[in-house]
Amino acid sequence: MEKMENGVRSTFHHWPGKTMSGDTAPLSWPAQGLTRVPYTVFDDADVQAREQAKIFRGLTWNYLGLDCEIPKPGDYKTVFVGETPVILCRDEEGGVHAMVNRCAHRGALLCFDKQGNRENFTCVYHNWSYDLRGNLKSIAFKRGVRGKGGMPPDFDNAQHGLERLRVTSYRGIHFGTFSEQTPPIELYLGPVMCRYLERIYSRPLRVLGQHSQYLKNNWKLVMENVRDPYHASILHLFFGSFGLSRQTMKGEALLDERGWHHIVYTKRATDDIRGSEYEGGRIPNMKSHLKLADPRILEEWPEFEDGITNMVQTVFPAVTFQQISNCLGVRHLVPRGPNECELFWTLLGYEDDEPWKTRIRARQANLIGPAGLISLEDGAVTNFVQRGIRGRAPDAASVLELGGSSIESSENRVTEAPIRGFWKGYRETMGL
Amino acid sequence: MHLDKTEARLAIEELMREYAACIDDGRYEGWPAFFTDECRYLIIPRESHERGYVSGFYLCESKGMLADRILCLRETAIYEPQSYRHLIGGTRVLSVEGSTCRAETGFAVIRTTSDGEMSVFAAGKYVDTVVFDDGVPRFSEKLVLTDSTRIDVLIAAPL
Repeated sequence: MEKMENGVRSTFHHWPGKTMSGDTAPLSWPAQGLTRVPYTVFDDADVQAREQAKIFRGLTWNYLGLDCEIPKPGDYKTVFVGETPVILCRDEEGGVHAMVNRCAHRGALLCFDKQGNRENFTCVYHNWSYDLRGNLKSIAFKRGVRGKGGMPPDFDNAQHGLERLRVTSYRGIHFGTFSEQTPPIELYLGPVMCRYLERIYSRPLRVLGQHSQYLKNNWKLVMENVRDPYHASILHLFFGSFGLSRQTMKGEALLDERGWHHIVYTKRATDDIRGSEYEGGRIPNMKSHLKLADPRILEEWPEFEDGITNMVQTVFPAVTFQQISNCLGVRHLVPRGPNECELFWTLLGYEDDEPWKTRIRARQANLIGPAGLISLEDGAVTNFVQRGIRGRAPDAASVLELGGSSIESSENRVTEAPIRGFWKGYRETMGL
Repeated sequence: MHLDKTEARLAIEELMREYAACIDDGRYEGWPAFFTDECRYLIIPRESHERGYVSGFYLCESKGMLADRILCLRETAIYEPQSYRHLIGGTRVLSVEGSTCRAETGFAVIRTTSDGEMSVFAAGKYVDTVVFDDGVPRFSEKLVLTDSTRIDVLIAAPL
């Protein structure tokens, strides 16, 4: 069965049969490699099913949460790995576990709240009860009522625990994987990514805010956007106008050896725009005449010795760690079908922050999120792509040639290498 | 100045109606005038507020910051044209102390985008501290507590 798209036979090779199991490739990649991304990956249900099987249930470490979200025994939070609902919890001895939030009996959600503290997880449907490690401990009416009915005598609770994920923790950040083959987290991240996580996550943290942003576009458009240093000083006029980020500032676009993860950082107050494209207002988005009535919104203090003022780091597949001045946070992305996704924001400070630091972090939170002065546009523009790719020719693809075709790290940020790195990870996990 | 509860309620209801009309009509430059010079405006999910979180969607700590939000809305923010329609509920006056009142008012906001799509964009309550200066009421604090922890795509104009 050839897949038809808008009445035109697709030039991508489509494998026969339904691919909802994610077993067969729903498309093949354009010959140009990482400099082209077929738009089909952004709205195809078969692609989405394969992502769930190959990426989120595959050889990846997926963000689950932070130590400070589940500090005490019995604390739990609900989270998603791809579309799979998951519980992250801490047992009586302090161990951290993750299991699918789905009763082993008939599939109901065990936890339908966001967080809390419990001694066990009991399904409201039929009272099947699990311990904090996901072991099935009891079944209502297991022996029937007055000796009648009940489960077969050979029914073994040990065979009916919750589906578990392997959990690993790196500097208080918990990741989970469904695969036994996923390499240890330090190997998965590589030394450069580890170093930048250590930089922020080596001290006890405190949650300052938590909310989500529902986006009307495929999840991968968000991951492209966050790994795209090209757009930062162009789309985000606030950035350029108030001198928060310019391509002339010192910084780097770094990738790990495999290219799956990335970091882009800049150091403010390190540039001289004379003789650059920024001089004399030649860049149309530079509204340098604008003045803030109360510039305290940009108030900051030098928190890190390395002088980095702006840093965005992604860990494949779907999590972003950010430092925008002193505004620290995690953005965890959850696909919601092929055309939508939900971005969960967790804003952070340190446990020992003085009140003035918390106040500055809270004020700087104005810069990011769904109402962010430098990020409000992101939700708009990723949706523009989702709408722009409708009704396309079958072989239509995006072009990623800024900085060539490599996935190498560089000191300049006029490159799309971090995005190409994402697609390298994507193709390797998806088998495309 | 001494207000009784009913006088306070009527004055705050009037203030709320003008406030909503100002935003819904797109007269954003008039929005900061509803606040005292030293003020606090915060949009945050109710759940976050109850947990004691300080970071929400939108935080202004002076009339200048309110004006800056509007400056950025006009000059630097990029988004598709959209408008709000506030449905303001009845005001409950929680306390009156001299010329300062605390009050709560429920709201819903319908957002209409340029393609014609309409949605209930936000619902929640305003928890306000209103100061009467020469008989003119202004917000010295306005907490916008949203019932949902989730925002549909983006918040451009204030709620």
